[in-house]
Amino acid sequence: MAMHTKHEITSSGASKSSASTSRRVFLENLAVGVGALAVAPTATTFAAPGTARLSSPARKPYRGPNVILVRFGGGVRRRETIDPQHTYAPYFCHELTRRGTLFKHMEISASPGIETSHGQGTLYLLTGKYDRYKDVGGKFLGQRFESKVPTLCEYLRETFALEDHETLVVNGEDRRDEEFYNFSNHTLYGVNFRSSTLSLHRFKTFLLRRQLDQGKWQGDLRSKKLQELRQLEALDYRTEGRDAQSAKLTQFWEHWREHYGDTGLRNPRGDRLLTELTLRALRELRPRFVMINYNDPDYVHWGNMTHYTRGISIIDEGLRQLVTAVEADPEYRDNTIFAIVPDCGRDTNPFAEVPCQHHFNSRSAREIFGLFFGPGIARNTVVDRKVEQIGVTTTLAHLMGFKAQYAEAPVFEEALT
Amino acid sequence: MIVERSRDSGAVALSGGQSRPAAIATDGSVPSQPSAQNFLWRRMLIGAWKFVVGVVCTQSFLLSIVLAGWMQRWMQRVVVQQWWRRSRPTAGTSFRDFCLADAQTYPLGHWPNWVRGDHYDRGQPSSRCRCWFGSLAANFRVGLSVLLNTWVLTLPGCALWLFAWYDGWNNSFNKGYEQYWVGPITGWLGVLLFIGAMYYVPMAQARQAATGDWRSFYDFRLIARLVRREWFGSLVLASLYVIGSLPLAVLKTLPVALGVGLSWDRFTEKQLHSMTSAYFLACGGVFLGVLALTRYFAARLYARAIYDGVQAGVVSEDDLSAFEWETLHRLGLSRVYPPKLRPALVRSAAWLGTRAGQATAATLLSVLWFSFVAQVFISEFFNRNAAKGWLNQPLVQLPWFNFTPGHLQVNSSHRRTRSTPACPTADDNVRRRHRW
Repeated sequence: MAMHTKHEITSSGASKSSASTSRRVFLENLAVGVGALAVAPTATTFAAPGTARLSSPARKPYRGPNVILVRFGGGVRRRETIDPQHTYAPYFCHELTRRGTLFKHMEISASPGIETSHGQGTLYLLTGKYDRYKDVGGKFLGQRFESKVPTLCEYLRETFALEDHETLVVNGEDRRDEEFYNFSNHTLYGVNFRSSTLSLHRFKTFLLRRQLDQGKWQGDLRSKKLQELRQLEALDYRTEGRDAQSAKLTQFWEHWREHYGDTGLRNPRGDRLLTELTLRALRELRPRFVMINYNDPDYVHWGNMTHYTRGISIIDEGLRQLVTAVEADPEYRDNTIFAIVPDCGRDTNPFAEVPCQHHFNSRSAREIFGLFFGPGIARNTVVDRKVEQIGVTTTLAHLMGFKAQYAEAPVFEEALT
Repeated sequence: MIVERSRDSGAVALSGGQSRPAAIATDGSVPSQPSAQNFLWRRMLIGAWKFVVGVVCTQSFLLSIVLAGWMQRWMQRVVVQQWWRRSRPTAGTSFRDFCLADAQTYPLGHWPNWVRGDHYDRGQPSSRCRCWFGSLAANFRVGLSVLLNTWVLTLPGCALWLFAWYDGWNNSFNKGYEQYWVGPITGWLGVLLFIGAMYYVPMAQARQAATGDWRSFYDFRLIARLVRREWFGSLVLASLYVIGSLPLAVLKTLPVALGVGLSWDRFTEKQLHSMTSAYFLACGGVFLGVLALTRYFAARLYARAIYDGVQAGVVSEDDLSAFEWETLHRLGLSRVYPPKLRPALVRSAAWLGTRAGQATAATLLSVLWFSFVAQVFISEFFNRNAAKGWLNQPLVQLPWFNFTPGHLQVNSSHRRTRSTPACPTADDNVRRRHRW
């Protein structure tokens, strides 16, 4: 059995270094004692970017379908999406639903403690398991969660020989905590099987690092910028700032910088940015799995209904661009599955001036939908049966050819041909 | 009716613009007094009636103007009552007796009416209309004048809040980084303007009530002087506003929580509208109590400020309105007492203490009014109420406490021939596949 260390984090985010050192020593001794069963040195370093564990058995190459998991977020009701009379996503509602299987009555569990919100919904989709998440720093309204069970990307990379740039999470600037949902705390998975994140935060970190390397600043200003860089890197505390991006990702950001410059004022913004990042990633990084965390509809929290409907329309337009790009690419065409699922619904509160302003665990906030289309998916199908959101994980895992052993819902058989 | 007497002619200016020699009634008679036995029951019944009508008035835009006017007229009574109490009246006399003894104060002998003219009006010849609707007209007129005056000072701040919230989040949604500052700066400007206005408005409203003249709202120097002198009372008044507005903010926002928890699918929109209306009608009772408390305290604060100011020589006869001067004169409170000679050290300490107190009070007042503003922002985040939630603060401006959602009001007014569910329910029990 291959041994590896895990950097364990307390609930306050601090590192239990003495405990992990003891664990390392114990594991080393155990490996020595077992002898014949140990196939690799027990002390492992943080895996070099782009590679899996040094001690892993050879993994088979991935030949399965590419998967694009679209989080139709942050929180949308069925009414404005899949209801043909009231939809603000006409391309999605009238065209895409005909290409695959639509689960009209997908829901988030109403069990106590299962929240209907963005971070939680994202982790439900990635892990296939409902859980009660709390901010690791105990911050009020904080959404820095850590999953105890592996994410889809970890399963995928543990099973197949994939580099980190081939599994991506594309994240917006409004919900930075979700950048760090790319790996879990599970002992057998974790950081070595993480996906990469594409976001403005990552670009800013790359840019700052590059500018410092190029000697843009001197003296006190340089010290200040170094401090800034440390703060940006420290956000991903579980990797202890050692999460250096692979050559492919660095090249990706170089091209982005060449095209859009340094100011951040020329690139697309909001959810359009996510679409652009994904399109460029499809061209340059050739990922096998991408999750896109759309979020603009959530602006309705501040009371302007048009932000909600406009946000949905922007996502709809993004979907059109993604599907067009996939269909235009010979490697992706006929070999890519789309899964489009909201992170959560929204309230339908008759006593509020803006009925869908929030998503406070109401019935409507639990009522979502799911659409699958692509190879191996039944076409032109609508399923009325109630299904759970976490079934998306199991279904995608099945389609990609691995077992999500910690996911809790069955596969959506109706979606399969 | 708000009564004011001209010092020069001795004539009394009535709400209808007529003037007549000061007299108790046209025929010189004094109205008969009800017996003491029935008096208490009558007062309780009248009080309950006035409260119920007041609560109803909080639910409508037009009626809330009437309520604002009634409050002003009531505040005038409170002010005069405070002065009467300070005059150390002889045993056996009542405030009512004092009021009824003079034409100016006659209408203040009882609480203002909502609709019917006061007893004073009823004695007038050719005033049938005033007899039946005199108070309603007076309430509306006075309410409109105090509302407009209050809006002059407070509406700019509120309008900036509305713009800041709208534009700030609009800019945030569109990621207009280049104009990120517009929303926050505008919002803060609105907050500062509103806080600045609230240093002044409560005392100004009380002054307008006491004098019966809308112009007296703009006696900036006098009112500023009074606020400075009564810095502790102003603090307490601001605290009352802040503490009183807290349950109101909760009540305003509570429907959001109720709407989340309830299973409302089976109700029609008409039923939902009825529920909401009943809810806010009940809230109107709480709101009216808080409103009355703040207005009562403001009136008392003003009465004390004028009383102390007159006797200290800080408020001159010219500063007072004719009605105030006459009333204080009748009560023997218009005499100026020379200040006591105190040692220089004591005087210096007192001066320092007053200045320090004023400076501290100014800071604390800002904090308190900022807390008031924060409640507005927080409650609007939880339950956005279109423009009304920003532009009208019921405790300060128009006492209109009804936040029934617009879509319920519109849809329930379209009467349906049969009840239909508010939203279609999903058929959860069917397991089938569709082929499009």
